[in-house]
Amino acid sequence: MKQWDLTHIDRRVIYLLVLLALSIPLALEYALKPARMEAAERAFAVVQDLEAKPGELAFMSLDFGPNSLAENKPQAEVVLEHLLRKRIPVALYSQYYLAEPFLESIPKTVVGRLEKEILGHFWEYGRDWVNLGYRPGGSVMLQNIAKSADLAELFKTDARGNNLRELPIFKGVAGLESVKLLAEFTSLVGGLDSFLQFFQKKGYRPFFIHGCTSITIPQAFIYLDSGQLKGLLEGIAGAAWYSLLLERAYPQRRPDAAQIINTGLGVAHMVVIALVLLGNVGFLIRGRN
Amino acid sequence: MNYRFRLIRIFTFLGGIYFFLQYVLPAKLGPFTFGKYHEEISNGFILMGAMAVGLGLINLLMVHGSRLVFRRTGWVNSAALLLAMALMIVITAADWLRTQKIAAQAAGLDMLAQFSRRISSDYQSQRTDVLPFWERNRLLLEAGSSQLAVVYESLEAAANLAGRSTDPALKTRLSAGLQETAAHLKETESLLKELELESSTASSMSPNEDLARALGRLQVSWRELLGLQYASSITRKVYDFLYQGLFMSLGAAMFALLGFYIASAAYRAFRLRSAESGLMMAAALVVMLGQIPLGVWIWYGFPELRLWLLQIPSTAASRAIEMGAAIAGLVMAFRMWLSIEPESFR
Amino acid sequence: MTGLEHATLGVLLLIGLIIGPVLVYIERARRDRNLYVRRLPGVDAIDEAAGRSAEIGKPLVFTSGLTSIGPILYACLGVLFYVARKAARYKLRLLAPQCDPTVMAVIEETVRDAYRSEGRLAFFDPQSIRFLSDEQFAFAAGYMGLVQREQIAAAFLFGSFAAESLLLAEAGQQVGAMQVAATTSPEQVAFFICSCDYTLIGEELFGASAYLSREPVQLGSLYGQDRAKLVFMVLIVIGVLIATWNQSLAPYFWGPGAGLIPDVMYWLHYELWAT
Repeated sequence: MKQWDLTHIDRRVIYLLVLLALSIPLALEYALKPARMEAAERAFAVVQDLEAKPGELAFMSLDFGPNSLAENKPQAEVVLEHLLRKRIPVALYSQYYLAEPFLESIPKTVVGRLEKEILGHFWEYGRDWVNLGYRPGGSVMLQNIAKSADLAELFKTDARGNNLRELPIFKGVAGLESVKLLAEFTSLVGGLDSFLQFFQKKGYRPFFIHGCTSITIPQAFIYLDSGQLKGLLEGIAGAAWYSLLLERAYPQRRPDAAQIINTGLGVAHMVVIALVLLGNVGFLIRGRN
Repeated sequence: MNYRFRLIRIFTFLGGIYFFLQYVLPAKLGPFTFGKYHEEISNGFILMGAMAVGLGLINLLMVHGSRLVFRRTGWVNSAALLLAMALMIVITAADWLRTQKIAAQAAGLDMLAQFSRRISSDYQSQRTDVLPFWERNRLLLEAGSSQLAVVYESLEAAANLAGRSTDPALKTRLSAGLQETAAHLKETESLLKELELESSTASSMSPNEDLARALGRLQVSWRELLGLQYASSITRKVYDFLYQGLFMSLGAAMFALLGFYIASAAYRAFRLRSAESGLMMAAALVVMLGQIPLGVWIWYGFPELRLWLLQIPSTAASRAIEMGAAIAGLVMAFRMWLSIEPESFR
Repeated sequence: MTGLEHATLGVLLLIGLIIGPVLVYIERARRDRNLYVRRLPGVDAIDEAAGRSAEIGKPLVFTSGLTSIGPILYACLGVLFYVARKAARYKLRLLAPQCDPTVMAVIEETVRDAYRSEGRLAFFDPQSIRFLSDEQFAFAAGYMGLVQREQIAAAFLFGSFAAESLLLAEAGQQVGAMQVAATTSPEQVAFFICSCDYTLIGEELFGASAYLSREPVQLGSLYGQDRAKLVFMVLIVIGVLIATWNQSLAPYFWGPGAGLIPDVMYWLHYELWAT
């Protein structure tokens, strides 16, 4: 009988199972300890060992849209939080116009959380972080950044209209050698390649941490293996492990959404695995009959 | 040979050689800066690409317009598409014009700040080819006063809006913005007065420097206040509804469909038909179980095994594919540069 | 090389080693068109798909996805020309939804040329070349709707695709279309393998065009690329042997860091290749 044919389960049943698998853990806000991600550990170590002298800063590029918010946003939040905890000034920037709202909302969320957690400590716009906004031009813009001897002159103003020379974060900042760390979070194809190729100059390349969606992990591993990437956050799993490492380093830190989303995703994975195994059991039975 | 093809070949070659040389040559070759106009040239290419939007627009109008006019099957959907397109164009244009206006208004203060700074620096460098500093300060005072009057008017409008508003969050933000802007306005006014008093003497240029900083702060807070006022306007609300409410949400929903499709595609496609498919399935199971919390429960070794799979076989295969595609891309790009085209495409 | 940026003697030499064989083989292919290219199963499926479309009487769809003007598009045009000629010959409806307006213009010209070459220019419908949207998921939604409404018989997905690849492939799968896909993006290949009947991986996309057209420039390029890959393979083998020697055998024989090979490695890395 057809309803017992394990090789032809109705598509709608599959969709319903996936929906339940994803939504129940999210609704219950249930978080399991994430699997260990060594690439995310390497990224954590890079930021943990980073020191920024006056006139040096970290560069964070958020090149994702609302489509991949679930994976890229937690990645950006955990790395930004780590940098801000270490008081390393961060300049946020994007090559993708859909990411423009996140250049304000993500740092504001992280700063709000930090100020609630560590009372009496403040993170100020213009001193601890700055929003350089969306800059069109893609790889041409990256080449200009690499060739520039004065980043304040190149960017001129931030997204709010402030003259960058007036902001404390850009005091003493020269060219690319003032950028100690580049953290790029993207779901776009070609984004990583542009930064690898162009965000460097003769004799200098900043530490590069990348946050990608699960689809582009194998491609990113090529560059992690060759040393061009110093750390990699592999989708939401990487963000969840990074979040756990932050909890270990800063015990007063409250858990965030990364581990909850990771748990939901894990349950959905198990459902998919179960369906694949069921399908193969049915296939083998059919073959035998 | 056809002159048209010859011209195309020459321009293609020149364009290619320019970008190649710009990439490999250093910024300065003795006194000569090769990439001096690189930004302008690149912006020109970006503009040309942007104009291609017109091509797409014409095509949409032709396809859906004809369906609508001749009442062909699905004309209602075409009407909806064209209406949505028109609405989005109008609202986005209105939003863009308004935000440009706000930026232009605020830019006036920024220009005054720069002028004040320039007066100070020119005086310190003892420039003689400009008007005397007191004359320039007088002009600065005139322009500053008229600009501050504009700011005052907008503060009144913002205060009215805050009074009328029924949204508590907007009311709070407007009040905070008003207070901040008013404080910066007062500061700027007092510095202007100080400048007026000291403009005939040249004891120091610090009033100009202080005024420049105050104008900068006023510009930022005023721009934010104008933005807040605009955010409560109908144009902005419609734009937010269409863009963030519909467009971004629909995009996220389409992306979310992938999760369901992956499940059904994996269920349908992963069958143990051969040794190779068994190997592929085993690798997929290891990678999936190695990155989820429940996988670690089943066996603690899954993350390590997953890492090995990704670092060694997967990286090797990905590298091979990337290298092959990169070589092919390089060859194709070289062919395009030298216009070595197949005869069928001439 | 002193003075140059992003360019060393090694890099320029490598470019010469890649491009040189291509030019040589293009010349050779012009003299002798019978250069052997191995059979690509996915490419043979194109004829099968066109035949299926003729039997069922439903249209074909060809899309280049998110491909913009560049080398990948040029590779897709070769296949499109072949498919369009088939469509013209058997009077099949060919739909070509596109994501990029400039690509749409190029595709329209190619399809028109194909119809002209078959002497069926009168049957060419410019409205079959449609611009859907330059937004990734709006394009995917438009494509899915088109496929469902037209109940297509065959789909060709050739070019660059991103996350929407599975949406496009599943849409065709749901209407029972025969699908052939080709992409250089390794991460999308997995989705196409699950949902399509045939998938061409990586540079098979570039090879498909040459295989179908037997055109000298494309054949010569294909041969030249293969020779260029040989150069890379030799370099990889040499590099692996030297690195293995340095890591394991040289310290055993001559102590750490000693010997000629480390100096060779230093020269290769810092003098010849480093940018």
